Amino acid sequence: MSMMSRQQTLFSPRRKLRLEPFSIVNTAFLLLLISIIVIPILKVLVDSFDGMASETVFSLFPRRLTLDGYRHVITRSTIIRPFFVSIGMTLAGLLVSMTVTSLYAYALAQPKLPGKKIFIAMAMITMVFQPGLVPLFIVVRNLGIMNTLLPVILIKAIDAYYMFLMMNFFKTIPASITEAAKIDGCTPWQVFWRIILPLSKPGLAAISLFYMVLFWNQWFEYVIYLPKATDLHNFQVFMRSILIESETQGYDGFVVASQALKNAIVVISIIPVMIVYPFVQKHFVKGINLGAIKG
Amino acid sequence: MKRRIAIVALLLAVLVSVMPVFAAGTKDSTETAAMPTKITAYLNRVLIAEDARDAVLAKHKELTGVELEVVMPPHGQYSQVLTTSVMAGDIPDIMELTTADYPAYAAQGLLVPLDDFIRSNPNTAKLNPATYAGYRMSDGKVYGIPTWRGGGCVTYIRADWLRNVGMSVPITWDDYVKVLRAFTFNDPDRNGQKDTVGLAMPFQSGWEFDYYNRFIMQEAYLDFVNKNGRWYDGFTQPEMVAALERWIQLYKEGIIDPEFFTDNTGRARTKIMEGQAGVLEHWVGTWGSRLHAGAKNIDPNADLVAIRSIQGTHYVDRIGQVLSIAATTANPKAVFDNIVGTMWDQGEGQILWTYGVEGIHWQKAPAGSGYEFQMLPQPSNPDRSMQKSFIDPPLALNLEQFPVKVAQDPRDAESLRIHALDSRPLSILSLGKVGLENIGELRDAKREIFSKIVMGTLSIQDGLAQYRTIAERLNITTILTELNS
Repeated sequence: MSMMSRQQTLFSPRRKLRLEPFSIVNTAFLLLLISIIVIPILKVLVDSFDGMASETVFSLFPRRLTLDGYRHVITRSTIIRPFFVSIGMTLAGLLVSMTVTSLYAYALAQPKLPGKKIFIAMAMITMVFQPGLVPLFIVVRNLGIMNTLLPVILIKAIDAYYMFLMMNFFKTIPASITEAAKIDGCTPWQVFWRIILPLSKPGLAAISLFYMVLFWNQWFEYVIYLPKATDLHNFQVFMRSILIESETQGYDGFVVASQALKNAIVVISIIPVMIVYPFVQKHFVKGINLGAIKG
Repeated sequence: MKRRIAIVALLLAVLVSVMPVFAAGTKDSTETAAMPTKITAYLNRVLIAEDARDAVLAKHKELTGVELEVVMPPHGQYSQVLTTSVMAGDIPDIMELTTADYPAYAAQGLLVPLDDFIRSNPNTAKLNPATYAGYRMSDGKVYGIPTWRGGGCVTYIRADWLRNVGMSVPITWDDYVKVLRAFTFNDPDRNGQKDTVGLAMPFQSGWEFDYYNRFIMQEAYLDFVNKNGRWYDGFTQPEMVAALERWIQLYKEGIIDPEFFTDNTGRARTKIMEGQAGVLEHWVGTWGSRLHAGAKNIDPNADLVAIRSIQGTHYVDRIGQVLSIAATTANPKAVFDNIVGTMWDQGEGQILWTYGVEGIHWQKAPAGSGYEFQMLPQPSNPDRSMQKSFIDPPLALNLEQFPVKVAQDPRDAESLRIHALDSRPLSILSLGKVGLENIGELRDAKREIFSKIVMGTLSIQDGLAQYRTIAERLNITTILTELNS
């Protein structure tokens, strides 16, 4: 049956709509799943505009429309520096992490790498064991990088899980392509830069989104490694300090640490990620699946 | 084979060369026993930077000649950040310690005894010894001086709901239960819906749970309790049986919030402010007006008031946070005199630590106002007035000599007045080695068994018997011996 005739059949007024039981159940299930996901997000959004927002009451529309929550955050002149610290650190962290992760993964993807098992074991150990807060603090302090932005990037510079995802992704690239490139005179670096990376866009996009969210959401590292350099604290620390300050000092105008303020902070925090995601979305699922399937 | 040996040797050489990076250091003190030029401090409740904290520090330097470097981790992570820093050897000169950390730090020899400093400083020598007696450790020494009077909790109740249901402020336990029933079943907010409960309660408040439950617990305590100078495990005392019966009664009738097992103080507070509950035991002072303002925001008719304790009950005077001086400090007396001595000088120093800087945080009140000072708008939030810079004005240790200099919200003042009338002081829990090792598991066991008893999964007798078995395994006898030694 041709496409045209199939379409004509589908949209023919005389065609009876047949609802199979599976379709009904499947649709209902997916609608339920969507509701479970969307309702909490919707509540956060609605409550951020609701001066009477309640933790336990869900309302589709604000009962008392207010922009006080957003106003209280955005009108602070001190918001600018932390915001740009977050932007800068996210980009810097992304650059460092993607560089380190992709190079490490590419090396491990080579079939005849000397000491390959040792390097894989080194990465796997970090997936199983954590160093502990105090030892990590001691290392950072002894390296003389306390109260600088370096520990914020270095500690999270590579995530073994993402590295293995990238490694598996690189392994899916046929060896014949790299061999052909070498025959054509490419150096190993040129093979990596001009052949491998362009072919790895889906994987790179997926991993970069993970790292971006990781670096954007960081706040504890700033608190613990930059206790005296408060001017280098990022946006998340700034937002958290607003929330804590409102709980301890309290203020008139609206309820102490009101739901509107809390939820406005959540919405403002996720805006940058929401802006970036559509641009990497098409690569995201493909990248994850390809990296995950191959063992 | 040779290649493998070479690789192993290379790895070992690399490891040895980076060993110093992993070595914990001790704080290099460049200060001699002479007056320090700079003091480092970890403070939990000082002003945030946006509220002109730098101005306070600059004024402190102007007054004392010493630079004060303040580190203020976020409130929720204060203890964790401070402890990490201290364990890594990065120890501040003076630090604000929670009552959970204070005994542990003192027991590990991290702090300097302050008795001699308190006596020798002319300002702290005037303080009533009762204000810091509760911080005396088992060796008889005081290692921390409170930052202000601990305060505590009182019961807040929706007076408008009382009027709606035709009842008055409860005086006895029976009155209290009747009020809770009315708040739960008689539509006290007159909205035609059954959407209220009598009592909100934050079970997820850690070891501070005993502050929030005095009407129900009465003479009983979930944690350790000091009676006539001896420590006992509150959960196994005779009065706990009657207390548990009261808890079971409230839970069975549904007049206490059934979600209280998972509620922290924030959630419990939210419930009374949002009109879901009518009674809550919560902190005194500025919370009196804040809770009321919060409730009024949702319901313009809301009227949240503090009430006296009912017959047979009392509130507790909290053991508050302390300022302690590190044993590694080069000149601890100088640090004590500079910070603590200044803080209680009844003059410019105490004004700075209580009200802040003139012209930024406060100004002189107009003549005839009845007060000396008038608080200015908060720099970070001009919609609101400053409350304090560090010390809560009505909770000063020397309140009789240094009375409150600003107008107080009547609700705040009333909550403080009631608490002063109806509270009893607590003693600080100074655990020994075995206590520190086992207190976490012991408290978890108590909370779990308490929950099961209240929910009816365990009878009171079975639950307490189960707890005694667990407590024996966790060396409760040794723990109590250490406490009472």
